[in-house]
Amino acid sequence: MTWVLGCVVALGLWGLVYPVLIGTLQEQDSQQQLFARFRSQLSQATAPIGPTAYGAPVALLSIPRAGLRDAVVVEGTGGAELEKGPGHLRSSVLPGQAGTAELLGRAVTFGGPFGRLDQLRAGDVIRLTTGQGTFTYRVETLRHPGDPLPVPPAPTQSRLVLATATGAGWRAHVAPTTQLYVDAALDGTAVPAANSPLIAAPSSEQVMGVATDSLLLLVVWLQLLLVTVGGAVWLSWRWGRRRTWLVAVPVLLALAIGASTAAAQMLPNVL
Amino acid sequence: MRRLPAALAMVALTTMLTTTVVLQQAPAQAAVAPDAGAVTVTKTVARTHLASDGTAVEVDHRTVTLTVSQTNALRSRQPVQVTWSGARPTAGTVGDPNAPEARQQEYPFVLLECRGIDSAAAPLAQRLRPETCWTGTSRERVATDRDTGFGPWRLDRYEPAAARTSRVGVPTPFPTKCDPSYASGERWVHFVSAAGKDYAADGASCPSVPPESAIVDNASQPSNTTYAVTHLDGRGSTKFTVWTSEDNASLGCGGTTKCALVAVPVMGISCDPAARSLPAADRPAGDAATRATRTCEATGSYQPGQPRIGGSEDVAVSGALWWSASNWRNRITVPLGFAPLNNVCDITGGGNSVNVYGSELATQLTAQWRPAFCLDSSKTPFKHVQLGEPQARNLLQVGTVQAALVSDPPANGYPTPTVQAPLALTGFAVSYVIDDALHEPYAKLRLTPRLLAKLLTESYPGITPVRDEYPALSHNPLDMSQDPEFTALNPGITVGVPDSAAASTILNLSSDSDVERALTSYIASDPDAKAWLDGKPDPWGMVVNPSYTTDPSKPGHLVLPVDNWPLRDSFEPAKYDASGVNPCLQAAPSPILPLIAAPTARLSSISLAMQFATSSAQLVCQTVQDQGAAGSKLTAEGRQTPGYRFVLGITSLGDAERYDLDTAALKTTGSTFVGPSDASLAKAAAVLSVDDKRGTWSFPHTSTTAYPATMLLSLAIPTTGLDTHTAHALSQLLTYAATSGQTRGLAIGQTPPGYLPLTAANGLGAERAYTLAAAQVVQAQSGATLLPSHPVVPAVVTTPGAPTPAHTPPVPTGNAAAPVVGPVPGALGRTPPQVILPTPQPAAAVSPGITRAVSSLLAADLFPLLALVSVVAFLCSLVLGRTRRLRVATPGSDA
Repeated sequence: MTWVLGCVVALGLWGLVYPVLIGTLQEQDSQQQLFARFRSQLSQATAPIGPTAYGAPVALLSIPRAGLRDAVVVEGTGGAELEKGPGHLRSSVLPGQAGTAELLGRAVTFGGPFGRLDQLRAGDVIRLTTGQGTFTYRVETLRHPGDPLPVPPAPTQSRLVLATATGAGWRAHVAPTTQLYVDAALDGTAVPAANSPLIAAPSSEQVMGVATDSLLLLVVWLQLLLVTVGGAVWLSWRWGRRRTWLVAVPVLLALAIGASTAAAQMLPNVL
Repeated sequence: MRRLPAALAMVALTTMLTTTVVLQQAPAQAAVAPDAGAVTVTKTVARTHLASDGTAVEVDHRTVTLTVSQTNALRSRQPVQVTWSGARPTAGTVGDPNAPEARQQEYPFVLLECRGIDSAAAPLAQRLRPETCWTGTSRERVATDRDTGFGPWRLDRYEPAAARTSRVGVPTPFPTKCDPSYASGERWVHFVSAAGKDYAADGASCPSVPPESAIVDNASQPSNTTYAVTHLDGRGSTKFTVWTSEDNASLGCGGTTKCALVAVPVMGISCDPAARSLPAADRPAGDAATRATRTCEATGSYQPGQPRIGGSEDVAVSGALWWSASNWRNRITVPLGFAPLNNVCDITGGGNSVNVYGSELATQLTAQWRPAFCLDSSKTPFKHVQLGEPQARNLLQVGTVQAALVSDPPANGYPTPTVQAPLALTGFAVSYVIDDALHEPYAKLRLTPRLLAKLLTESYPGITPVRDEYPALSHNPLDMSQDPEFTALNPGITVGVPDSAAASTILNLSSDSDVERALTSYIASDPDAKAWLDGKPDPWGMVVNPSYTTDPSKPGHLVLPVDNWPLRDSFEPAKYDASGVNPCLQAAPSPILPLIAAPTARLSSISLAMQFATSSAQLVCQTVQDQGAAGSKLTAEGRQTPGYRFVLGITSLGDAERYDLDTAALKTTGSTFVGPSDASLAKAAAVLSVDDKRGTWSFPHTSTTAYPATMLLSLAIPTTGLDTHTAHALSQLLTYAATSGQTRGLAIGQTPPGYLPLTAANGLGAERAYTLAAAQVVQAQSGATLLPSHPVVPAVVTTPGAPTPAHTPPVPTGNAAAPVVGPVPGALGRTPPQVILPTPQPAAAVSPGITRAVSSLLAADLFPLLALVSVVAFLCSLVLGRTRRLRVATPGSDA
């Protein structure tokens, strides 16, 4: 009985620790790799200026007030992309282009890059670097559900919308219940949008979207985990406990992280 | 995830319903809207001779009640159901009531279409009289008497004196081509055309006839003149085909010309042999008088109900004298109201009209909608150019046409942003004319997909030479009427029919069509049909024609579904028919089974064949004169003999309703059989599943109550690249289609039977909302697309603060879920992406809406819950550990 309760405690703690701590490590790792890749793309002028592959870097985002410095924005806003950093909604134009660009980011897990958006005030600077140059936006409003949508920008203007999850009080950084949108207008004129068609974003890529694509993957991971646990029990009979611990723990940890990554992709994308 | 329980529920439901329920199609009358104007008239008719002393002697009188199913909004070639009771039973009956020789029946119930107003007050030119009634041949309007010269019509007490003379209506000069041998006793009833031309009087030929009656062969449609049979109980019924000036310009009904259906219950001539008031020359005398009186007062040489065997009927009671005053005064006139003629829009001038290309399924719908546009100056008229759906789609994709009426989307999606706006839920029907063992039309045919597969695959030999010479089919039943599967399903149909070739096939389309795809999908969805097509014999041992096998291990096997049903059999028998002689085929041998199948390019041709029970099997070798040289060619078998008919064809539901065709109930996923009706279409509407990937709704073959041959009729229009005029006109059409066009009825602008209107009550609210939204998107031409959203998918986020590049104004959607516009999410997976062009939106002055909230239980409660669970479990283990330690400490508990 104690054994079962211990497992429950371990699982619960793992559920808290993984997305917040290990997830953050994973995000930082992804950011480093993406930054290196995007830097070279910028220098070679090969950075994308239109729709590109899921997970590809498309912009650098700096929001001094929210503690973001050169965060790499990736293409796509599914759960998997947002584990790497802020994501660009595929049905919107890229930042700096005429029209409305929309970026989504996580508030709590995987580094929570957008966790401090609620500290922004009107007039704050948001700086974005894409393959088309550096663009400075100024925050207009912070918007919550129920507020009126902003007037669409003029044909030569650009608007940036940052979206994430938030909540009241302590919930804001642990258990968000609502959404936060930051509307910002571009200083100066926008560059024309790429002449390629945009792509409709499915519901799983909208704010609070949930994708169940990785369900199968999760099942596979869990099966592996189960087999490994069974193997470890068998080994402990043959080899004794200590040696088994030595061999099994790294394998189990790796499998647990794999399973957790798959499970975390089914969390709401901006959590 | 959500689909799994739904699918399980569906499977459970299906198995539950599999056993018992058998749904039959609704009665034909139920489909006719209240504005059809059904009419019932009762009239007392009598035959009363005038004795020599001047007293009236009543021989017979009857009270006849006549009902006509529809007298309003009639269209070209439309059949109306005519039923009557109380009439005198017909004697000396013939099989085909539309044949000219049917006039020789005794006491027939004659039905004619006549031009004019039946009132003595009307001016002669507009009055309805025998001269304005249509008959197919001149023999039905000319009477001669070789015996005494005093035919019964000359003794008719009700004829005016002028009409009782020797030669009435005989043209002068006498037509040179006519036989002038009758010196006396001749009566001609002229035909006067709508243009005022008197055909009998023109004398160009003998007799001169209007052009519409020139061709009388069994391949063309028969005359609508009907000499119907009254049964022994005084009742009878028949379908009367109403003609407009489009079918018969000489009769010229429709438009401003009034016409009526005239029923003449033939009672026989009321004789006045004494003819006191007439001059001596018009009075029979002596022996002639006796014989003339006997002929006039005859009551029939056949027993009621007895079939005609020779030419010895009593003329006085035959249908040939329908025009005589005695019969004519007994007539029941039912005025007919016509829908605007099809050419009404050509007359008003469709100069700037837009063309809509595509599906023949829409024919009846567009025919009723079109006048509502061309007669309304505020609307831009449109024209429906009928094309196969795949062809229309191709033309739309390359930009040749601006709008395509289709059912399915293209396999790989449209290359440019396009909306597919639903117009109505309709489908195809398996129409048929089959007479039962009592030689009456069989009204409740049931068919399975396997039977359809047998007909389509030419697996019945059809003719005996094929059965005898073609080993692959030699053990199969000769035709469907002899198939045990068919007879078990449809008891009461004679096994074996005279025209076994026609009974071995189904008249189908030869062109590419979405109907073929729906038909073959239906067949392929049925496990029994599929197994049979794969080569497994049916329980009675019938096997598939090897040329049509779908067995994947066979080279060149057929893969279903298809857009075009192929003609694959190439067997050529040594003998071509039972007698072994067919000069055409002997001279030029060719595969026989495709000739029997004889598919046609148009659904409308199939409706025509079904309306008149025409067999299309190309087996008749006809001698033709071509510029003096005699040749021969294969032609269709033509009309079948009433009482022994057996033809089937694929028609549109709209045509089946309009031409009042009998339609088969088709087997569903379970063991139920469902015929087309509003109810079964509504059931189909309920199971339509939204398919965002294809941008439309699809009809899964999962329901046991839905009509299996249901198809959603849509209008595909690109949302970019149209000029303003076209965009506006098409947008108007869509708005109309989603609103006032969806009233069920037969009037201009309404939705005729056979099409389930797009209303929320019919379960088509989401489709209607899509069409309304599509109208806006088409008007805007901003390159936006629409995703059909499923009503049960919960509302999802609007793109906050980002009026997306292709944003449309809010659309009134009623209580249905609004279709998603542009990049707003639907149930779309990651692939393949819908394409939206990034057209910058002109600045709007007002906020486009409110930021919407999305609630996520997972986000709100996951981490607190995990923490709570951990803490609780930790505390529990602490408590548990303590009690255990306590127990260990207790002496004796160790044991």
